[in-house]
Amino acid sequence: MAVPLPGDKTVVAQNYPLYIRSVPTESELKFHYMVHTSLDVVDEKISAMGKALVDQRELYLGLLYPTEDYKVYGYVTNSKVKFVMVVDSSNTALRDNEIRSMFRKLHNSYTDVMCNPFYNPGDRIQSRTLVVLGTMTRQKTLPPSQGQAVTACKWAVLGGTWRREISKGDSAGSSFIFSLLQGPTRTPDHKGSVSLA
Amino acid sequence: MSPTQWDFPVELCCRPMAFVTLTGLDVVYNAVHRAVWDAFCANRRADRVPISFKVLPGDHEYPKCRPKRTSYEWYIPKGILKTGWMNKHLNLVPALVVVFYELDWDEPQWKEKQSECATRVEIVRQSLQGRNTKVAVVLIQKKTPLPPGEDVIASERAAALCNACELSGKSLFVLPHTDHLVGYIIRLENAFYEHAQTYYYTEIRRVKSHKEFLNKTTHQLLFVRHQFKIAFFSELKQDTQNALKNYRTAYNLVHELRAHETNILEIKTMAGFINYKICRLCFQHNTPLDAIAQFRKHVDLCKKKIGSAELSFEHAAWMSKQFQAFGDLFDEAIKLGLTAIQTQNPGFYYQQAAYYAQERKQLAKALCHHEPSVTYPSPDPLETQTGVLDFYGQRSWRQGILSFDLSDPEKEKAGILAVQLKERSVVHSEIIITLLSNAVAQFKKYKCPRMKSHLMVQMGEEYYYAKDYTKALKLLDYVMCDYRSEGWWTLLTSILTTALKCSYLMAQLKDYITYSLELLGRASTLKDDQKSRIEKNLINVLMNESPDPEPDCDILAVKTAQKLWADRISLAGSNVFTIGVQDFVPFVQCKAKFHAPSFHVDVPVQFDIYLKADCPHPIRFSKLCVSFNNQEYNQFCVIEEASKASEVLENLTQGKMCLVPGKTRKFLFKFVAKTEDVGKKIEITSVDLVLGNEAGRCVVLSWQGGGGDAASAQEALQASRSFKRRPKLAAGEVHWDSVVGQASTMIISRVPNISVHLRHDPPALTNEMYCLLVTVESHEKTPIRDVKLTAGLKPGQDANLTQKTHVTLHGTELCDESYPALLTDIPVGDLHPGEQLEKMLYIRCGTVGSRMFLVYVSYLINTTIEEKEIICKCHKDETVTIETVFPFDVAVKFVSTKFEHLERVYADIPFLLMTDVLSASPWALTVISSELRLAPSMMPVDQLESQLDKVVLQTGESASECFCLRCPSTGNVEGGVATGHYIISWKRTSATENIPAISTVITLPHVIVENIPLHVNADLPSFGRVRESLPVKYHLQNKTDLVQDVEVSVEPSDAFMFSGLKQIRLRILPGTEQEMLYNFYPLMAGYQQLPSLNINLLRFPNFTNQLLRRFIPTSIFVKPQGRLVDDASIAAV
Repeated sequence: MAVPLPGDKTVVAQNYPLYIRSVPTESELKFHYMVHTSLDVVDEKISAMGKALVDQRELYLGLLYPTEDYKVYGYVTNSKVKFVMVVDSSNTALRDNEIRSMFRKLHNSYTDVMCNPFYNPGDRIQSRTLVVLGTMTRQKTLPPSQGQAVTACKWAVLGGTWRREISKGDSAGSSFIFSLLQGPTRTPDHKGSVSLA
Repeated sequence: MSPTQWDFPVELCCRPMAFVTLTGLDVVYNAVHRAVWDAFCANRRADRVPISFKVLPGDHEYPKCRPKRTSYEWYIPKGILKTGWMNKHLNLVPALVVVFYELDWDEPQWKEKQSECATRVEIVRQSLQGRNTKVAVVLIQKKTPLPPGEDVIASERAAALCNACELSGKSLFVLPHTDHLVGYIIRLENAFYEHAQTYYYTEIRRVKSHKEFLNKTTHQLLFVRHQFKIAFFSELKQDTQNALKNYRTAYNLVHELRAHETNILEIKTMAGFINYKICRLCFQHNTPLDAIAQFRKHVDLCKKKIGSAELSFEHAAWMSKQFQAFGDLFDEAIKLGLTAIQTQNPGFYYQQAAYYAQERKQLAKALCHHEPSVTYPSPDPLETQTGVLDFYGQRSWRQGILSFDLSDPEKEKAGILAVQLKERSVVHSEIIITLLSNAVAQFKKYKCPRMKSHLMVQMGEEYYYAKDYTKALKLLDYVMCDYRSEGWWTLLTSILTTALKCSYLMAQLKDYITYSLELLGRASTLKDDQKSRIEKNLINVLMNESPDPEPDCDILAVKTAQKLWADRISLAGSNVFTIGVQDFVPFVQCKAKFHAPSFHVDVPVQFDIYLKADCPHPIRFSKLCVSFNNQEYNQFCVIEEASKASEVLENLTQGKMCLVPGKTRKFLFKFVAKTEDVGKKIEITSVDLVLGNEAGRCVVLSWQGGGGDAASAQEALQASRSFKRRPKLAAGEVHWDSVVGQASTMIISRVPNISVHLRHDPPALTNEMYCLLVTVESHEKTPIRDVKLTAGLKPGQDANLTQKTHVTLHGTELCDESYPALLTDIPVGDLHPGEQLEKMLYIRCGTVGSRMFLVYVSYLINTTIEEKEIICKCHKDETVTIETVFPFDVAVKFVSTKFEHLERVYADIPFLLMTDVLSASPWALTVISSELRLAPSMMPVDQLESQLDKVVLQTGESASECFCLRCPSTGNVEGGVATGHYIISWKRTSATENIPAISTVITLPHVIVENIPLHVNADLPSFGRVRESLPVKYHLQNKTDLVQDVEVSVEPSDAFMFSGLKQIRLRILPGTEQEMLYNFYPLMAGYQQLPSLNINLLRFPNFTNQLLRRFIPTSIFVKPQGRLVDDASIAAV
């Protein structure tokens, strides 16, 4: 079994996790630390963006920092909810475009969570729907032809504080963590097919 | 093998410099030689050529050169690179040997000296046999040489010497021992440097020439070796570009070697060396990205080349070293000016090095845990004959054996065992901690606080493994708050768990308790069984018993700890630990809430303390007390239960001193506020909850202010946003989230039970004594005492108002400036229930505008609360805004006696002053009198009697007066002449007799006075009658000091016939007047134009008829002729 891809993210003022998920669950603590430390880079990138062009700026932060075995990617919404994704470096099927579209799907799912009238912004997210939704999104993202690298994919969202005054886009914004987990990759048996675990 | 076997050899890490030896210098006994040597080696700054010098005796034996191989056909290399090779070319085999010899050109015994020198050169050449090393001769001379070509003897002898020594002219140097020694030395060493470069160039050529003899099957190792040598010689030659190129080739070659378990260490060692050189040169060439790319490639290529599984810790050690060395190189480059960034800095490499060091430790732990009975093999397989290896990276027990088969498995086993046993003595934690702290220093520099915290956690954990618990705790404690404040509970829990172990093992009571409190709390992600265990331990500790050991601790350490705990127990006196909880998240939450934001002083102050425990089992506390900013109340707010320590676990669910997990407990406190505190804020400064027995050992959880810990603010915020409906609870229970703290309250005075009414007739008129009637009525059930009235202008308004507002109780006299704007504390006596009193106030407002007036009534009353009698001071205030307006407007104008408007008046000629008083008051005004007070420059023409006495003016009515005045000539006064004042004395018509009248003084405007030379006035009846004579007399007065010639003429008119002088020229003396008499005979009835009188003054051409018309009438009303009958009837009346 290849090492899976855990991911999460946080925000400026209060960078606590809204949702963290890692697959598989062993050495979860290590991934938590990894996500936490990646916030250094997220903070730096956000402050470098400044207040300019709030509407037009790119939400995807790209590769945050390299480690020996994993790649850490970041994404930040206009309201400063942060998404962080950690993936196995050896998984070459996940290129920038794939990561970017996964983030976009995650963002949509997060938006759906926020639209839930029973969800209190800022609470840690517990949503099975989100996971399922993520899985489906993933499937759409990677059509079978591309998908041989991925047999199954699950993901989840975590968050920190959330402010209502989203329109102001203040830098003290909210935080949100989010992780994408991926199941076993590239086993010869599954080559060329995609299935949802 | 030394513990530093993984360190790179110094000869690899240093900067290679051309090696030059100096012979013939006696640096110990010869001062001149000493000076020469010092000039070579002292103070070598970067601008000097890179040469490493060494002084050797002339007969020094240099390493022997092996005979040249003519064929490589049968040669099988035994390894890649000999361990001595780099050192040999850095420090043993010189590029140039310099022979110093003292010889002047005019030396008398030249022949002998020359041959001695030649002998010395010969000796040096002997010992360098077979090498390409250059030889040079330096003659140390006492005399300064002449310019070249002038000293014939010198040139001859130099040629002879070269010949004798078999030297080229370029290798013979002269060093005059004069003042400019350093200058000569620098020139010398530049020349040496050229020789050295030539030497290394030939060496490179020599090594290259071997290549053609090599074949790819048996000489693979030699390809690497030769490539490395070429690169190394290039470095010595300071040709770093070529060096880099050759190292890169060598690096590729080394990975082409067939790798097997037996030689993998050698391959990795050499790859590491070459990689180091490449990265180093890349940084030196200021191409850091190339260095990073090379290093990444290196790591990717080597990561999987683990080699023998039994010695896999060696691979981890090697990897760790690769990262560390790269980190060092990177860091060094930064010190020389390279700029690093947050995501690419040496910290990452140190961190990775630490990671591999940790892995090494894990592997070593797994692979090296031999039974104590296993002894170190003898003879030591790690020993070699020379004490060092022949080739880098080979195993000492099978050096030079290239076969992939293990010829002697027994020997191999012993060797591996020896390596494993050696590894056991390595202090891994020390290595790991050093690497981590290097990384911490870097991340600190590059703004990565969280990375820094993470590494510090790792350091702390490593110290824990190394059993240095004090340092571990210090580090963990330092970073804990970062994770807490960011709400990463999983990570915090993990750190706390380690910290708890450390404090247990050191038997640190306070730390142990603190960490337990937090691990039991809601921020902890521990499972319930863990929490139960910790809670049990905590209770044990509070009952002065030893806690159970923490899981996964080292058994020996636990034994020591148990002893420490036992000592603690025997020493136990009264230990009270006060723990301020605002900085962490304990397992008891607290909120304080006053029932109201303010309390009247005559009701008891009440507040609730809410407590909630998050631990798995109910817990009992022994005392709850609350402190206030006024400490006198503290005594009333204590709950205490005399309980024995043993009862802590009993009756758990009963009794008010017990906290049931998840349930919110409410404790009501009340106390009576002191009357002195009226108007003050009462704040809860702390809430203290005592766990354990105060006589024995106890913990005081102390919340600052109204409760709340490190996480509660965020939770309260979330709760306040939540739309979730909370489930119903049994009566009397509350939801924790629905409780909103209120840590302070105001004490305010008792509610007054009196009424205050104000009666008055606004608006006020300027300067009048405005009457305000205050009625106070008591509705209290008991008599009230000491009623005091404060009334007047409300403080805090415009400061000018204070000076223009005066208040008095006495309306019968006008108040002046000395009266205050606010009357304070006027005693008005006592009031019985239902009684009322009235008080008149008079206010005088000197300016218009609105003012706020305050009427404040205070009194004392006795009341009883909570069976305590207190005297309450109550007060009631009313404010009223009163507008002040002008009572009337006064308009003044000057007119001529003909009631024509006058811009200016003429000296000595009467004019009229008209005043017009227009009432602006909504109330009727009575004008008591008016008075015109003239300035000295004005003279009344008749009596100045007031025409307005006792006139009553309703709103909008006006009263006018007219005064006839005359102004004597004053000469030309700038701005006119003062007229005087007009004084109106008035009061409200409704005002009573005893209210004084108010005098309003109006300053009359100045008027411009002009002199005229001639004044004419006419005496004529007020009307005429047709065909009746109308006598008219004109008076011409000369107002000048001159005799005036006057031409007078009268124009005829259709309406009149007249008799008198029609045209005359006359002369008027100064100050006298001339009368002109005319008889006009009107012919027509109606308003008729008089025959006009024209006067012409010869001396004053400006005096025009226009001016004249101002003084004399121009028309007259002529009545028709009367009838006699009418006259008779009139006479009859």
